[in-house]
Amino acid sequence: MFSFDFLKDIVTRREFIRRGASGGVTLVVAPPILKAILAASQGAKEEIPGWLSKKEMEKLLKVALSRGGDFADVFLERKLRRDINMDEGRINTVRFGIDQGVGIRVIKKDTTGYAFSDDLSMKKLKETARVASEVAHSAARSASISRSKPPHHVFARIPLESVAESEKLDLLKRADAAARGYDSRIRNASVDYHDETRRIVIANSKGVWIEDERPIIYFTVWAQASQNGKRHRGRSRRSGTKGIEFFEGHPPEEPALTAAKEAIVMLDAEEAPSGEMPVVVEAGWGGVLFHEAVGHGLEGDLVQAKTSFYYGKLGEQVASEHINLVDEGSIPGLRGSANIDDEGTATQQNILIEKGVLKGYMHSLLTARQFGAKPTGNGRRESYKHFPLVRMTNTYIMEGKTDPQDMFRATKKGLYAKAFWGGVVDTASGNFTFSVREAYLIEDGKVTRPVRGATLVGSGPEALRSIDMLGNNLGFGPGTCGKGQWVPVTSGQPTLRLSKITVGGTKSD
Amino acid sequence: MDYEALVKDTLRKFKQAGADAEIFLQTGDSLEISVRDGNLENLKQSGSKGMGVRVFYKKKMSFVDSTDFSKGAVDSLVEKGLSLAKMAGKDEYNVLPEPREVTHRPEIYDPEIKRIPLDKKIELAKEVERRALSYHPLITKPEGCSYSDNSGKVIVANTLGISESYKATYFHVEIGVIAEKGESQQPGEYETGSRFFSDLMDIQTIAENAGRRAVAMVGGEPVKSQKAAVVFDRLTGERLLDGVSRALNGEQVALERSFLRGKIGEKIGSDLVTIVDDGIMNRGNASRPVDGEGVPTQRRVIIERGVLKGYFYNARGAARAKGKSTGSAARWGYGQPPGIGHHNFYLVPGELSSDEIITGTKKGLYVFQTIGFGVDAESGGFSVGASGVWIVDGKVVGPVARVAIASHMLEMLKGIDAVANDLIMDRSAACPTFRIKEMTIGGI
Repeated sequence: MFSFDFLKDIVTRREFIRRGASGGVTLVVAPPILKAILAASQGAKEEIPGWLSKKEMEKLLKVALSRGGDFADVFLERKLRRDINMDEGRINTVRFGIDQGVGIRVIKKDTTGYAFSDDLSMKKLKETARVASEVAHSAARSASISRSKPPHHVFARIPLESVAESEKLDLLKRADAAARGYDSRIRNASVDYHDETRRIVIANSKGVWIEDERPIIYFTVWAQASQNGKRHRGRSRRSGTKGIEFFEGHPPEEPALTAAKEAIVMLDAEEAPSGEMPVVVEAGWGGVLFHEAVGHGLEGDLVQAKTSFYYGKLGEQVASEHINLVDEGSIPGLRGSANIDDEGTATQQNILIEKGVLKGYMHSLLTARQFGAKPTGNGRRESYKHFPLVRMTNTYIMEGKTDPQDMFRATKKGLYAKAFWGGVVDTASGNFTFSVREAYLIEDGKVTRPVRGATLVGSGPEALRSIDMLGNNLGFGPGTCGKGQWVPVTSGQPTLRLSKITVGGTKSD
Repeated sequence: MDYEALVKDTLRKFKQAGADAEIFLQTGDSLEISVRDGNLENLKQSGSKGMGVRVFYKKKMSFVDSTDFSKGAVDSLVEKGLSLAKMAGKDEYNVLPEPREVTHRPEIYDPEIKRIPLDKKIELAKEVERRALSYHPLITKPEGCSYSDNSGKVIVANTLGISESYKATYFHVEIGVIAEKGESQQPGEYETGSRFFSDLMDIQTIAENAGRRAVAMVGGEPVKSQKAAVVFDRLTGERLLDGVSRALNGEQVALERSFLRGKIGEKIGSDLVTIVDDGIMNRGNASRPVDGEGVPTQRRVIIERGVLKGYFYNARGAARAKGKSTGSAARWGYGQPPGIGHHNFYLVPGELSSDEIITGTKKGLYVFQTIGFGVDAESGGFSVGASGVWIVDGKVVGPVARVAIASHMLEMLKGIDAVANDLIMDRSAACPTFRIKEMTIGGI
């Protein structure tokens, strides 16, 4: 079973990027690490300080293949993380962490051997490679690698390491002030800021040697409203694979106001209805419904295991002819984007469903080989502690032509689902649920009263077939997807209408 | 490497800088085996370590963590921790716990872990899968079976004098099989864990637990929307317990983010509801001598015959509530500051068998699988997707899927009118089969 965690006035660059000179505290990390992290922005060098050399990586691949094996790879990762939390009007916790390590994988037929180490000495790494090799039992091989350059659509213009923490604190304070200033009934706001820079190096037995750097920012604002014993917490999130310039396009006030509005509106929410009805799902993060209900079933590993509903259905009509479903890891700046996946394959646009017909699955190196297909740039992993699985990146339904207002007008009695917690799917049965955070009744063609506690329940294939109106307003929302490992993703869709789906609220009449 | 010495030495550096600090250091070895269709699919082995440090400077706090224990890395961690703490806001609730005597040290480390051969573990996973696949003719394919174990050591120490450490082991088996009938595919899944290898549930029972669920639910269709009784089985009842445990978080209660706020001494559940949190249960999956801040754990009755007795506090939550830590500081690895959570948390079993509960149910849903998050510890709202079987006049009449069951947590606790005797503590939050008199079932 797979799930989502549940857990924007333009500002000039100068306004929030005052470097250490402003008296704020600049980054204090061990100088070699900082140098290594910053090296990427200074162009490719032959070898990065503190990292493994070509020779060393070839040596590790040789050890990994010492008992045979069809394929081996070495994955180095170094990640700097910063988290700042603001609650009850003050900066609560400031956090900083470093994760670094090496994961080594050996594949023999359909069996994967994996081991990792956070100790980067060659002695320990050779031992790690030897442990990974335990799945193979044939003649030793070796490998030579040559360096290639990844595409460059995901990058930080202003590296996250170059910005003083005091400047980041200002972003939280601005969001806090905006949420509190929205309405006197907003009693508290909390803001979570997370950023990280993840540098990876991949070398494999097919000769690949490639590096990448991924900046990511995740900014969440909660606004708590209360009045006469009623309360609601609104939430809004922004995320992108960019440097601190991200906030130029996404000022912190924006999610703060969205969260505050939700909190105030939902104060008056009634219990959600129960039963089958048409549901209009708002553009953006609503796409999580199809991420869950359809996307997971198109991941090559689940198809290979024959447990996916979509196994053996290539070329079949699985949705109405207006539906195009895409997974695209190469869109600059989106949360699910990267230049290469975690196996070194360049990300790309993958059309999964075209005009309602199932066109293809998503693949890692392993599943591509199993299917005799091309890798699609979907081999992702949470960290060096995990071997790659087939994962989505930015998954979306392409836009249609309908004005969303026409969807409301066409609906006599139904639900308008505006904001969501997330969803869960059981890929074998296709059954999913989807928790709605902000919703409204649609009565006689109009959006009327807010309702709380709605859950949408259905079967993925049926939900896909039940889309009868597709809006002209594609949007994206950020999330984190769990499949035993957590990876950043976005889900997208235009506003759309499901002609019929089960709503599970607490009100029954 | 002498980790105790490293911890002591690092704490001394913070003290010299005029700060207080707490170190949570974790080391461990883990093994994960997965098999599918009788073949080894993945074999993952690793050793890892890491430390997380909370730094307190004049009631301001930061958190820094690293996997690198070299002198240079630790020195820069100390420096970074101090500089970040100085930037944070002043908060009177930023406190560390004082040392208390540890009176109970439950058995949680199985020295056998080093002696069990790898092949035996792989065979165990294969055998569980084989038996689950042969449980019933409707079971057609595997979803995978995994065996995992880990052994590790935790050191938790602070500048106020707490200095504790313990070793622990954990063994875990997880299995899923799929039953097919016509177009319908239905997985049945079961997972079970223990602190000792010899305490693992026997292979046949694990297999049957998964197989039985798949076969019972396959071909399920929604029922009409209605109000009816809902019986939760041993696994799905955990959903309600999870909602209760999150609402017991003392800090969330103080922030008015819990449906249980202001309810101490009040009757919030039926007489059949007694819920215990036990950190010192011998061989318990979630037992530890001390919590994530080094405070001794204990056994507490949280809800007694329907009456709410207390909340969960870590040091910070306790300071806010002007109370005492209940030893409920939870850690989700070294890389996260402590939160608040439960230990071995369970609904005390009743006297009926689960069959007697079914035969005593006039009309309702017997839930074997829930899907979705749907439990809001803040408002108490409960709405999740469910699959299971339908009961009429005490008999199972057919499978049900794609319905939503909804209510309010307080109504559910008060509505518990039957509790079975089938509790098995093979997870950290567990419950016997129980029935709720009435919930809203959203269907067609």
